[in-house]
Amino acid sequence: MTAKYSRTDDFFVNTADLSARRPPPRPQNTAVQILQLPAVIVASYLVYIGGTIFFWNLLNDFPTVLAILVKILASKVGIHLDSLDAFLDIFIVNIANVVEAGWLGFLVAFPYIIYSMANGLLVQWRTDIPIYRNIVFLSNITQSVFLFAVIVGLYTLMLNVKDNTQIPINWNVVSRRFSVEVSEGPDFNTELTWLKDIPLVGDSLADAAILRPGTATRALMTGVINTLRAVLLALVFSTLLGIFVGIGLLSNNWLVRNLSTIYVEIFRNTPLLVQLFFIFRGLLGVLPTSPRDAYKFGDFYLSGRGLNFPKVLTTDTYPYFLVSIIIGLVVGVFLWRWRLKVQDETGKPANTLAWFSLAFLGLGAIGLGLAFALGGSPFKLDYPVLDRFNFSGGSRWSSGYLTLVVGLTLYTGAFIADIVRAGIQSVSYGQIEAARAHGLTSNQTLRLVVLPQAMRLIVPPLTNQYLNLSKNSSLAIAIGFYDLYNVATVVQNQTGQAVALFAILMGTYLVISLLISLLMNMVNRSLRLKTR
Amino acid sequence: MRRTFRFVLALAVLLSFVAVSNVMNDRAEKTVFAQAEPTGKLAEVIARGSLNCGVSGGLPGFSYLNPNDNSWSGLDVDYCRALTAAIFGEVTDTNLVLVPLTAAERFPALQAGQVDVLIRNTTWTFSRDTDLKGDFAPTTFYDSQGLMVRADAGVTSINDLNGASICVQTGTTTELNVTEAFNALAFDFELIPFEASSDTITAFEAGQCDVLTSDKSQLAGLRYGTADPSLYVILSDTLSKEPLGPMYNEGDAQWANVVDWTVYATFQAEEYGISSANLDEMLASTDTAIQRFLGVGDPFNSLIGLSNDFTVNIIRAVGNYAEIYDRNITPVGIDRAGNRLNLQWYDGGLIYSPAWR
Repeated sequence: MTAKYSRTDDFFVNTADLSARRPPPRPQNTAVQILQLPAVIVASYLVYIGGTIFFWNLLNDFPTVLAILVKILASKVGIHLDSLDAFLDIFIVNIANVVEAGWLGFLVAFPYIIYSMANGLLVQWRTDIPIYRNIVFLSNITQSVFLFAVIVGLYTLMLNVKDNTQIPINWNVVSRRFSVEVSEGPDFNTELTWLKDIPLVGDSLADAAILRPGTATRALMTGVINTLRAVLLALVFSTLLGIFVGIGLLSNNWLVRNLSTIYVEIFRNTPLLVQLFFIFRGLLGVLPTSPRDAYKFGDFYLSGRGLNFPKVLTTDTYPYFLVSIIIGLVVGVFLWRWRLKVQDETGKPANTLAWFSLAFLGLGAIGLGLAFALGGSPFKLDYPVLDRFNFSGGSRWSSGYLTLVVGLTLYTGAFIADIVRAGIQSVSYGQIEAARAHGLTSNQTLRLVVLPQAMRLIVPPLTNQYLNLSKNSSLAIAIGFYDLYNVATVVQNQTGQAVALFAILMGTYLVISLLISLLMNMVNRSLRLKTR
Repeated sequence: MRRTFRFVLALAVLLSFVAVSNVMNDRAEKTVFAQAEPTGKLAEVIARGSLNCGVSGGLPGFSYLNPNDNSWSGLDVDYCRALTAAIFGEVTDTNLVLVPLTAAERFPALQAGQVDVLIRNTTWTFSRDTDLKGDFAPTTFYDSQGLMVRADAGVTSINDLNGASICVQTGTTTELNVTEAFNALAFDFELIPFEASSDTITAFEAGQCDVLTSDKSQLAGLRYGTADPSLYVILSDTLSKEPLGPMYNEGDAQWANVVDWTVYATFQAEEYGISSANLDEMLASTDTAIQRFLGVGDPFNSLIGLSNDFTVNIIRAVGNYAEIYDRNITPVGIDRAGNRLNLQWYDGGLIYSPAWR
């Protein structure tokens, strides 16, 4: 059989031919394939642990042994190192700390290093890509080295604090009894009794919760909830305010435009702490101080102490209502999808929202009727009643909470307004002219043409503002609101465990910030220009 | 000739005895009361040339920075000055650094060595002595926690305070005491915490709380600073014992001695009737006890590692305990005779110096 070469073979590469030329994959045993990665990891880990135990003592004592040797050698040549003792001691301690930190860092980073090496080698074995050219391996190994460096740095700092100052470090401080009343927010000491209602495990959970009442952890949890309560509300309000004022900054109406500008410039250019004090002492100072003289709006009472309003409680018939609402939600979602399908197939208008609302509200109404028929309203109101000093019963937003929400909203709203203005101005004017030429109203132009494009520019700086807002909430300590920072400060004051508490604080704020970043990145991704 | 030789020999022997005994005497005088070598924190402070003293800064009577002329005054400040005078001989503009600290900052600042001693109306408690690795000098002011209310509120005791809102300075023992006291009465109450004691009084004046709780001396100081003190009353209820005194890190015995005996020196001076006014005539006193206390004669006082006349320096700088009290606490409105715990032991109080010998 003679090989046929033609001009077409040279110029037009046949993909079928190409795949035929690739070397056949090596035959592999399935069991080996499944087990090889864990096997490599486990084996290297065993070697690592054995080696650690062997060298650990040697390395731990190494700096001291070295120092003794240096001293002996120096005395042989007539230099007495006694005067350098203090310096040497600090030096030894620091060396020992770095060594100890190095081991800890290695301990944490080691599995990652081994994993990436094993993975790189496997790839090399399978595909002939050399490990030093494997981009996944290279990025993994860089990350693990970075992780190692971060852990070594942090741990060295902590050990230096431990050795060179008298600051005590005790990480168990959070489980100590904490006997300061946190007067605002959920009380995790009493409200955990609902745990009992969980079938099978409820009793033991509730027991565990009741066994350790009033620990610092509970107080810190209350602090976290209080912080989130203020931050979430301020996030929503500041976004709404920012969007409206941002549009107002570009308004054709002279009054709206200038009022918006004045607001933005005042609140953006004064410190937040000053604004909080101004609201707390100035604006709330206008309100009657005594709850007896509080302004009354129905069952809402507003005074310098805060806002008291009725609390919604559930009754025995609440489960009927709850179950029908849940059924309504599920049915509503099914109807929504069914209508979309109908629209796709027939082109008829879907009216998804109408169908969804019909199911949801209808079933809700049925549940409400059922509850009334079987034993009365599923809800009841707990009204605030004036006592000798304060209102008892009902819900309350304290003056500190109101101040914090209003202050954060006004301050962040000013920044968001400017971001919205910049986003809108970034949309080319030709787009607006085109929209007008198509006969869209100015409202429609804004809603359908300008804002969707502006959002792409608005979201990244908006994320920064959200992060700032969540961190600025720690200024609550100045106005007597029990947020996370305030509670942590109280715990730290009463126990003296500054390092542990501040580590917990930093960790918690980090988690809150990362969550906000994560959510905003998801929003950002969904708004990205879709190209196919 | 022989007689002359014997005479010369006898004279020589006699002279050598005198010479030897003289030398021995000299040596004896130097070694019996040798000045201790400063080590640790004391050596560090002397080498630095200044003392870092942690104070409050916003509390009339204890440590208060007058905004009009930037001058410091108060009982705590005077003890900072006494310690500086004991170490350096006198208080100058440069050898005393007063570091204002909030209640929250004070212990980390001490533990990290940012301040050498903490004289910031700090209550001597078990956990601060043990867990926080601190040690306390003798109490310089015996305080107790009280409650301040508006005069028109119709409140006569803590039993009338069910449901009240309470302003409190965060990070203090008062925060714990008031929680325990109200829980023991099974009262509803609301704590409103503030970082600075000046914030508590403004919130109280603005009506954001019904009760202000703190040490009674502090309440008196804060009440004294309001526009119209007659609007507020301090209830006679006492919630707790609050012995206030200097605090330092544990583990340095010499530094502990220096701080402790500086405080005792002011107590002892009052007991001996030595004040900054009559110091010079007391230095000429023939009473051996007073001579010993003031370092006249034997260098007895230098045993502690300071100069022999450190007590003189203290009295010259700040006076005795009575002078310190009258200068700082009396103007705030706390009469010493009415506040019996702060009287000398022979008047039925708790101010008591160990024997100075």
